[in-house]
Amino acid sequence: MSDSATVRVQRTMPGFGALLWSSVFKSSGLHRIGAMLLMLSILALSAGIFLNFDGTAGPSLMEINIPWIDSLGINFHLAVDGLNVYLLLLTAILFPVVLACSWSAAPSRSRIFLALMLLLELGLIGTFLSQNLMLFFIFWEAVLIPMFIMILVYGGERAREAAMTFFLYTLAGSVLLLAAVILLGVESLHQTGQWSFEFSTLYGLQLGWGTQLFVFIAVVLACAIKCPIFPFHSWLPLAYCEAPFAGTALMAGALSKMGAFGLLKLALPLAPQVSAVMAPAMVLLAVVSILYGAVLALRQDDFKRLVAYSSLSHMGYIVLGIFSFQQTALHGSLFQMLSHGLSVAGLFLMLGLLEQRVGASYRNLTALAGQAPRLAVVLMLFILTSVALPLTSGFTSEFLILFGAFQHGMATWQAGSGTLPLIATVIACSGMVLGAGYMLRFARVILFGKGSGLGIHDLKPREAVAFLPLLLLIVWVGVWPAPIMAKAQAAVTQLTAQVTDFKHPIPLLASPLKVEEKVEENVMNNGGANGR
Amino acid sequence: MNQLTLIPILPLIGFLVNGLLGSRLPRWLVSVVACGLPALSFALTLSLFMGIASNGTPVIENLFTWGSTTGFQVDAALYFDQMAAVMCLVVTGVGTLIHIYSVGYMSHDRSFSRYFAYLNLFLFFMLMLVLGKNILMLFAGWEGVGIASYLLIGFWFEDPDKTAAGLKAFVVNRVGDTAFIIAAFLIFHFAGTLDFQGINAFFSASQPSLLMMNVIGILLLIGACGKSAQIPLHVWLPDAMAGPTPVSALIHAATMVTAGVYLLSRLSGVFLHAPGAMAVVAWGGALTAFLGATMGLTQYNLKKVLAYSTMSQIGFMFMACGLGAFQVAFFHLYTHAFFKACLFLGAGAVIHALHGEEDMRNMGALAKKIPFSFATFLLASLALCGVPPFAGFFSKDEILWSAWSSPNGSPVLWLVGTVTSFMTAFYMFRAIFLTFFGPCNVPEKVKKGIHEGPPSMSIVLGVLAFFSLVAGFVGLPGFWRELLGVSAPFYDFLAPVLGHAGEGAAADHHAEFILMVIAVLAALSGIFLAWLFYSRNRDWAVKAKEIAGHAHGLASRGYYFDPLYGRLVAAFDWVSESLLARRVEPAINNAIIEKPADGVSRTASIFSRLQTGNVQGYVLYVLVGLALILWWGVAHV
Repeated sequence: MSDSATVRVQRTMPGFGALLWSSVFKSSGLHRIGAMLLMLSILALSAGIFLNFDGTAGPSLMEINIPWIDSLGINFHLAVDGLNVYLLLLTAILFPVVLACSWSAAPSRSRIFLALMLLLELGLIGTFLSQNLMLFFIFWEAVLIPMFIMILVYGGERAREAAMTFFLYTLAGSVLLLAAVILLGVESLHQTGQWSFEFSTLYGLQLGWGTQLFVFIAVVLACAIKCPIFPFHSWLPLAYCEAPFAGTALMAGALSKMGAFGLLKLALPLAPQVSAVMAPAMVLLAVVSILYGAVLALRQDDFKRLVAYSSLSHMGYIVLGIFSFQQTALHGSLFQMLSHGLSVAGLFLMLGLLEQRVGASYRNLTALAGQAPRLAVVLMLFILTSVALPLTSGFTSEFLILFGAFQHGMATWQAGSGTLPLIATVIACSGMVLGAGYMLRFARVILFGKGSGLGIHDLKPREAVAFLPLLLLIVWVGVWPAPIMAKAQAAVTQLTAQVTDFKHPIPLLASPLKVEEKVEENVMNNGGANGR
Repeated sequence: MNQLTLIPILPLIGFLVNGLLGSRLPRWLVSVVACGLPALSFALTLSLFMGIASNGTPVIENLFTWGSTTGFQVDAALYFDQMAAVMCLVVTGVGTLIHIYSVGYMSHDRSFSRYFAYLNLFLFFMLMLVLGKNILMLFAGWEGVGIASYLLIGFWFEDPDKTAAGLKAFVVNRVGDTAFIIAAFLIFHFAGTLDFQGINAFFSASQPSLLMMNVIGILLLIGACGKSAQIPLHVWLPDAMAGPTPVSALIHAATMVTAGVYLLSRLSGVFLHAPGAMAVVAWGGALTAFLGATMGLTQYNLKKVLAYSTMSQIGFMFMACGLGAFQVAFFHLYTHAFFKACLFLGAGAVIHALHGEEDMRNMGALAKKIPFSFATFLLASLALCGVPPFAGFFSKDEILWSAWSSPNGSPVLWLVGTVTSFMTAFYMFRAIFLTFFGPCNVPEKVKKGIHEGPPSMSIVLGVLAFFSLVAGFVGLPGFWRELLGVSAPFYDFLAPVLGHAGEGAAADHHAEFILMVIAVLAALSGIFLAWLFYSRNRDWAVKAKEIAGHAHGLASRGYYFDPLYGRLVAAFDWVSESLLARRVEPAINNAIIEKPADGVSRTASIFSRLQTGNVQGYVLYVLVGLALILWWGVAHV
């Protein structure tokens, strides 16, 4: 099993290259089919990896590690682990689904668009699978370019403004991240004697308070903008509304998960002490995001803006779960990444299909249930996932997050460390009511009422088939999450250990001889990094 | 797959078949699937019930582990004990009957298969709620019946009022659900499990502080209030009457709304150690019973009278729970399911006969035109009013006796209950006299078409009326038991789960008899007064309304709960639209995007000014730079 899996991962990347090539340069009309086949083969590989991955196996089984710039410790190192296995599957599923839904839309006929989509998929999978920080950063930034062009070229009326805001904003967030990446490389040079950006090396470093703080701020800033969470969400409504619907679905479904993933992969393990100290503040931001997005979504007439704000609200849950440092909550956050990716992409795709059918007047659509019953049923299922109805993935994830956050809050309170996490969690629970409010209002406006007789075409078989994998996964996670949880269990255990081990006062004091030297280094490096 | 698993799975299969293929199947097949599978569930329940009645051991079925991580495990497991057995019998039994009734009632509807798909979905979730072995399973069913109720209330989705009612029902329920889920988190924090048996065992062995117990109790109560339409979360129930009438009978009378009572009884181990919460349950129940009845007095919509009556009767059940007499609450739940379903279906027959008319002012003199429906309606009304020997008499009387005699009870509670049953009799017979007697106010056009429903409807009415008559004999009051030398099989059956707690001082049969007579007199005088006001002298009713004045206005407008909540929703909308969307969002946008962008362009313009194109200027910069480097070098040597 392990051998074949390794091979599969190894085949994934070159496969990309080949198909990119063919889709850009082939002059026949087959490029759309070619792109689809490529995406489907990636899906088949990823699904195989997902099903075979049992969590207990070390990360070495499904990885490729090719030295790239050896002297600087930058390797082309990709591997599947418990943290990224859901996201790999999510990305692999979303792309063919999105392409199938926008099959007949104008952009899908252009080779450039297909190439951009494939580039995007490459960047996303690369980001999620990277086991080397520098490689991670390169993929992280590389994702921006195709997305930027996609919005700019294929977007709506205000596409230029949206594309610029999105690009500059997220880029600005990442600048500090680069500084942090280099700083960590330098730290590794100091402590181990050679350059390394391998996560496995970096996790083992003893970082001082100042370094951790800098890394934490850099990572959180970059991730908070990507997610986004309040108050860094200003780019979101504009970008989500102006991008072509395929782009929006990918942005909301997959790109936003990069932010949450970054918090898990970088912030918690690299800056554990600072994370522990800053957790209440992050929890607060998360809860504000949940409520702020939900309340704003209550009164949005534009469906896309409504879903965009609901997305802000749902991303808040992920952050809440991450900064509760509790196994159940972490599982919940991982599920929420998957679940939100599925449901929000589904919602945006639905809106996109409607936009395709009736043009810009989709904003005034109503009474779909009478005119297009199959479409209405699928849309309702996505809405119910978003409402977090039991037996859908939305419930599994929100329940686990709130459950874990609450247990963490109670433990904190009883340990005498403040009631803020507890109160914040209880307030976050009210998001359940608001979520039902805005989503069902949406359902009432768009699905119910008296038919306007516009004659909306119902779902075509191709579209119906496209939504099937999303719905199946939603139901699987909703009904029987245990086997999926088992895949992430080892990673979650490791992550909580990384954070909670450091919760106690500064471990550097354990070796008094080195203290002076290290503190000095840290101060120096810190200054250096800030200067960059 | 064993019997127990099949009970909820069968309706699910029905939902899938009718939901996916229903529009292509012939109607008879849709009906057979929709009614046949719940009937099978009922048969299975019956056989399991026989088993548990003879050997007394609960049936447990572990399906799979739902989710697990360090320190947390929840199984998808079913549990069939005495309490679940009673609920399950009611749900599948009454449920099947109402499915059969619906075949006739909905025969003219375009979305025939969609209706039955929803109804089967409801049964699936309701059975999951009842059979769940832990809080998570129960909660999944709990929310699931909420969504089924949402879909069925807004079944005729072309009418915006109906979809609004569905939305309201779900959101108000969600308020309760949120409290419920927080209670579940708290319970897990202390007990370390979500399993009902584990929880009850833990809390009987050791309790956290009294305050915590009461907090848990109150939170659970809020959850139960949402589902069971208790004050202050009752506002959705009258609106929920927008759904098809059989739905009102099944979901909003017989089964779903009583889930709150089931929850309280399931976690009786928690409540028995939370005296404060128990008192709130009892008094809150009494308040709902009383206010619900007053609101029922003032309605003209036949279904709304019944809706307020349901709310009031569930108030009685809550009162019994609060007094610790869970088994009595359960008994009332069981009898109520029959007579209230019968009443709703009878109302459905009237509405069906009048082609959708629900206002009692446009009815009258129907007793002769639809005698069979009238007879069943009358029987069920007598049961509801608590006239012996109908079913409701035994259960309601036992609750009143508990209110008087149980250690937590008080004469005031008893008085409130008795006054309420007086009002119950009054509003029910007011409805009967307005609907079935007096002058006929039906428009001429409709008059000719008045007819009894098809046999599928009449048979169901007959069966339910029969049970309204006899269902009470399985739980005779202590006084009668001693007199007749029999036992009460209902209480004996439930005793292993709920015990005999709160049944009162059984010895004092003298007082019990006197109170019983008073209760019966209250009911009869209610009926008499209704006859006086609505049959003999109709103008008295008008005068009485004038005399009541503001009190009448207050009750008929539902004590202004709706406008109050309307304000709350409006406040949220205001925050959303006027505050956040218009003020805060632009401000954040300005602070985070535009200000930094301006800052960048301003800095850029400063530097761009240096680019003069003047070679002398550039030489100067070079020199300045060199000088700085030299100075730095000198300073650091």
